Amino acid sequence: MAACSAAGVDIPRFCYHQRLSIAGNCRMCLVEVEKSPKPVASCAMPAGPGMNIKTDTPLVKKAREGVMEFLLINHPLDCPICDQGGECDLQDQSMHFGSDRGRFTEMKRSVQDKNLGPLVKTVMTRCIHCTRCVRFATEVAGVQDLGMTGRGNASEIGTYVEKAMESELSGNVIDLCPVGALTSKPYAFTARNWELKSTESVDVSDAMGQNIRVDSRGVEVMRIVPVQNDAVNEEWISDKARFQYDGLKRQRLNVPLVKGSKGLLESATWEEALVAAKDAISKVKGNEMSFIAGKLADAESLIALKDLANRLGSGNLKVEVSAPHLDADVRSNYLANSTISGIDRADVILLIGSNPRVEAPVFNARIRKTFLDGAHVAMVGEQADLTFPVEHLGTGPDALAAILKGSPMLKRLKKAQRPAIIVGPGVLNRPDSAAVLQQVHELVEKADVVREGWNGYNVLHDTASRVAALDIGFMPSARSASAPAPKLVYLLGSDDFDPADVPADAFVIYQGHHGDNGAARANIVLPGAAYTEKNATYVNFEGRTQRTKAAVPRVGDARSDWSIIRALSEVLEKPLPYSTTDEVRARLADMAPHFAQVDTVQSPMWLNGEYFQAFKDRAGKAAVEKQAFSSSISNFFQTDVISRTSINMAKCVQTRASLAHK
Amino acid sequence: MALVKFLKDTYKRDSVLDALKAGGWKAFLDGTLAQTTLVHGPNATLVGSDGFGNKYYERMTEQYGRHRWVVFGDLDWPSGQESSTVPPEWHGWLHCITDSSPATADVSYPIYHVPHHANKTGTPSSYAPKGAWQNPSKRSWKKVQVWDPASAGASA
Repeated sequence: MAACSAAGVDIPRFCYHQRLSIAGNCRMCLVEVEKSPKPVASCAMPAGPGMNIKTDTPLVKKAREGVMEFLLINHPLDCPICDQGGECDLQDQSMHFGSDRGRFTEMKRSVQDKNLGPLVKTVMTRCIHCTRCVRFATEVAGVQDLGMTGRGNASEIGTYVEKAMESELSGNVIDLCPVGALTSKPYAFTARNWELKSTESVDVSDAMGQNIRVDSRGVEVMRIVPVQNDAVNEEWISDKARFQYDGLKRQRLNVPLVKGSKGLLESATWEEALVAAKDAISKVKGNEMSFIAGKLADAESLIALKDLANRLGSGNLKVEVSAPHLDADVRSNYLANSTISGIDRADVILLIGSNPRVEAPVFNARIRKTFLDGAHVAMVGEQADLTFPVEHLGTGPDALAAILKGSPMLKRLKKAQRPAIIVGPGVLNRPDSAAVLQQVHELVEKADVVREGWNGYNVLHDTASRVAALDIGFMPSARSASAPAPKLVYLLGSDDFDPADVPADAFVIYQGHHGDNGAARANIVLPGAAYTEKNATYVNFEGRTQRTKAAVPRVGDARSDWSIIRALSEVLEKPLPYSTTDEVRARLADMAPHFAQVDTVQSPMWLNGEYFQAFKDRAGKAAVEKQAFSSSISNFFQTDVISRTSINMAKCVQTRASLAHK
Repeated sequence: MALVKFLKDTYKRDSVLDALKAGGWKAFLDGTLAQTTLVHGPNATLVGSDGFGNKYYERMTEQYGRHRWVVFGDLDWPSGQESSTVPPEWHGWLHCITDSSPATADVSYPIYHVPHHANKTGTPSSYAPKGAWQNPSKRSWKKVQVWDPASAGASA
């Protein structure tokens, strides 16, 4: 089949999928091979030299018609009420290759629907037993939840016992299903695919920057599906990326709000709100202001806010739940240097303080693929089920020290051709991360992880804004260490701020798109745009610059985030030197050239230990605490303000909790 | 005498005069009521009653087809005497579909059974389609729900 598509001939198929193993059970891809007595299934037939393959002979046509007739025997005629209608492989192929009349007069079989949890809806009578979902669950997602029971006419796809799918990637079976047997539960009966406007964008629910297509109708996001990008997410996305979109329709900020005399937030015009912000800002000194960016902040607004803060004389910049000891001096120090696709080539992987299954599920699937290709995976950190067997070396820094002293793992890393070390947020977010990072650096040096043509030092981040913030240098300046307690705090979409950073008497300006902790604490609320409503730049944890595209209009009177900061600077009479998106991007490219190179990874410079030495000199000898590395994400489904407002995600949390009970 | 007893029973009064005062006089305006209370009623057998207070009578000496009738619990005229208050199990007996009444035989209900209620047309609880302005729980056509600072302040 691959040979045929290389030659430009498209062969119909249901069960064959290039990222899954070959099943050969739908028989739709039958072709005629010269000197072969019967038509052969091209998906399972290796192409050989001198082979003559015919794909448009009467025999092939008849074979396809026959297969199609068999498939349609037990397929219900409910296309008009089927959510797959219009984008259904079976519908399309029966139009192309099916017979023009039916001879079927018997009863169709019926199959009981399965309950796969709050995300995947099943209509099992529509199933044609291609087993793509079963192969996806076992091969890619790594859960043994789906399977085939029964034989012949009685065979059914289902969970063996009544149980929801326990995977962070379960939504992908919806895309894989060539018919309408597995469809999206939240999307059910809400839209038809031909009424949707598709916008290719980037997901911000984790730091991986999964490529997505936002399907919208009018002002509503109707669904989110993956876009194929072999370098990032292949063609999978996590359930959070796919199903959190209903959070975009709830608890939104649509008008500027200013705290009135009664101590309540009251709606105001932009002019009133900006003037109120100016009054508050002009009352405090530069060093008494602090600026905190949230998990979903884009690069444009980050640079605008940094420029504004510097003009106001403040260097107190911070990203919430920050990795306090990472610095922006050397880019290779905070990126996944092997790149996401490069992990495929690694042969020994050591995870330190990272649980990729919750921090970046699609990346975890990628590590799993590497594992299946024969790589050895070990981890230091809290025990976690990564969907594949992992050598667990310990939970805390003492295990790291043991590796350094010379354990079999160190030897294994040294002997490996392409060893990779992945440092997760479990290390970065610790108060003593400087000391732990020194240990990690020592390990990187000792195990010789960075070699000619291979850089195995990877940092895995958990929030979409982190890498862009580091690239821009959105971090505390040297002077900020001696700054007094802030009297004015500017929150750029920050809802998970550390309460210590926002004193009770501080004046708070919140800019963001959802009403949550930040807006509830704020004195002034400036409504911004969510990631589906703006053209914004994000950088994922391998350093790939990617841009979201506006799919739907902004809510009410909300504005694009960087333009709010630009307007504020104008009111403060310290105007920023850019007034269009292109000019902001030019400023970004000025700051860091890779911002101009969208969808590419500019491999950063590796300073061969010089940086590690500098890091050590600066951080000094710090004590390492005993406690175990724990992942920053305790609840995969609710990590940021969008997923917290999403009802779909709340249902997922409930389902998981009930599964844990059993 | 049976007529007197019937009037007294129907209106739950001790004397005929009181019964007439309590609403029996309406029989002179309402022919149906007169028929059931004055002509049919005397010497009839009370077979049973239902949850709405409807009483079911039978008198085999009547012409066939007129030998079973109901005296409604709510005898107000013209708002009462709602024939749709007769539940299905009594409806069958009343219309001679069956001879077994709930008074003489156990009624088994299917699993989807819901308690019977009278026709609600013309009342505030009558059916209104979704989106109709009469429907109290109208479907919200707003695409986006906006944050309300007052509610958030309470929860925070």
